[in-house]
Amino acid sequence: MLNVEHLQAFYGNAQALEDISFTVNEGEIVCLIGNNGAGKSTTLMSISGIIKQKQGTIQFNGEDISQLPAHKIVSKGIIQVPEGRRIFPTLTVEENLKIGGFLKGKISKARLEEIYSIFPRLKERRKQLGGSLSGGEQQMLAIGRAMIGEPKLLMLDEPSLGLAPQIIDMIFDSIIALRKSGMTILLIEQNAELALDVSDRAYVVELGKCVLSGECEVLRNDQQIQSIYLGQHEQESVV
Amino acid sequence: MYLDILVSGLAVGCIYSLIAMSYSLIFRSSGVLNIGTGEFVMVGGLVGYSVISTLTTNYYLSIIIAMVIAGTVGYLANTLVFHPIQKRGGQDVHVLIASIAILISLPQIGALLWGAEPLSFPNNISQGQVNLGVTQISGMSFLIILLSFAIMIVFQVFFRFTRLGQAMRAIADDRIMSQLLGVNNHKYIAIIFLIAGGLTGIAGVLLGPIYYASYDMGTIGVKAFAAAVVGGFGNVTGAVIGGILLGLIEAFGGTMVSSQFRDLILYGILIAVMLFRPTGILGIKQRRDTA
Repeated sequence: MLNVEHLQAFYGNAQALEDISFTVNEGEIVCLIGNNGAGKSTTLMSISGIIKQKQGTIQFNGEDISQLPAHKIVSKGIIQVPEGRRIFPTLTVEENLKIGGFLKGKISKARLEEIYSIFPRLKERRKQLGGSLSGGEQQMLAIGRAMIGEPKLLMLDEPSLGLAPQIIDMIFDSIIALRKSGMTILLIEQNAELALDVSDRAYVVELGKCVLSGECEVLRNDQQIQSIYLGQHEQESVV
Repeated sequence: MYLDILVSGLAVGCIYSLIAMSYSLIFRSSGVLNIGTGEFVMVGGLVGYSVISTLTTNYYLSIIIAMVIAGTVGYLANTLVFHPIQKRGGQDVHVLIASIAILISLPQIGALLWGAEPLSFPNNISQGQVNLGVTQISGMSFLIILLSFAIMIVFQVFFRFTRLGQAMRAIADDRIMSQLLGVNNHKYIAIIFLIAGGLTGIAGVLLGPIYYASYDMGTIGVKAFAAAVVGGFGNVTGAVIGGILLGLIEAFGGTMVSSQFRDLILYGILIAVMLFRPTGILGIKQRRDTA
């Protein structure tokens, strides 16, 4: 479905991505794991067309999308939930959801209800401003907002960031539910343990390069992964 | 007498509000601080004058034509100047310099086309009186207030309830996120420049009959900019409040304290407001535009 080959990206003169290659097949959850600053978010922003200085190929269902503007990429069915959720603070919850389906035209009540049935909390708060929600509610809204655009490929950037453990469980339960409904997902997580739990395959990104890839089951037992990512995560959580 | 001052202050304040809205709309959607906004007012005023003195005697028609022309000038300013500069990596300061260029060059073009003499609108537009039961007020002021409030209400409804208006608010909140949901920012920002230019065009034709139209009438933009900042820069409702407040302070300060020191009083109060509320009455809303 998504095929990224030798992707390089630049911020001005600084090269942020050196060589990123990976594939996401239909119906899969694929995750990119790696440390902060490894280039995971830059990869998503490049796929979404926000970062325009790039080389290499990004193919979606066989079509090269690497030179398309951001809104055209959304219309192809690639929707991103960015890091930090980026809820529109001065729009209400319901207005945030409606903007999610901007390219779908007028959003029906029934469609809104579908999202509210996944995240009932959002219905309670639908008249509230986006900026007044808690972190967990914002994450639910961000995912709901992306869902309403009916993505073919959903890209989630650090959905666990800054959330309490029980909220993280809830968010990941909803990711698993999405996957069961047939959604294809590209997941980015610093929390490698969590990511390897829900994903089918994983790629390890270091300093703008994909250095390792494989089935999550295999990677989980890899000595190197255990010591660098799974081990390190435990250290972090102690701190 | 107080009622007259109130009405005329409110009328001028409404004109400030329309221009201040234009400043805020442009700034919050595109990040452009367009110092040249006042010059779009001049375009509106002079075009309105030409229309009413040569084409038609219908004042409303002149408002509509001036709105369209000033809107086009606003649209072109974005398409030919601001957007290309931003796209090529220009920073805020470069955009600001470009807008100063507009501020300086547009009046020169205005003087070339319309001459340097102030041009008076026909008297019959501004002479009428409106009966309000016990008292009479100026028909022109009444029209300005009525039209301005109607425009402000239309804007509130547009931004609140239409799909396009909501998308524009989304752009204003976060320019990256709106693109990530499929909003074509470039297109909608261009439309906002068109609308903002149109607003100032209306302001120009409304201003003409109570003062005059001339190549240098764009200096009103400075006061409107102040009004936008006092209300909370980037906030459209704040722009309305700031404009009306400025108009009233100016009217009462000018007639009841001293007409000579009218501007001194006005800007003195302005500085005082900024000292107590540096972000303006309704506060500045933050915009995100980095990935």
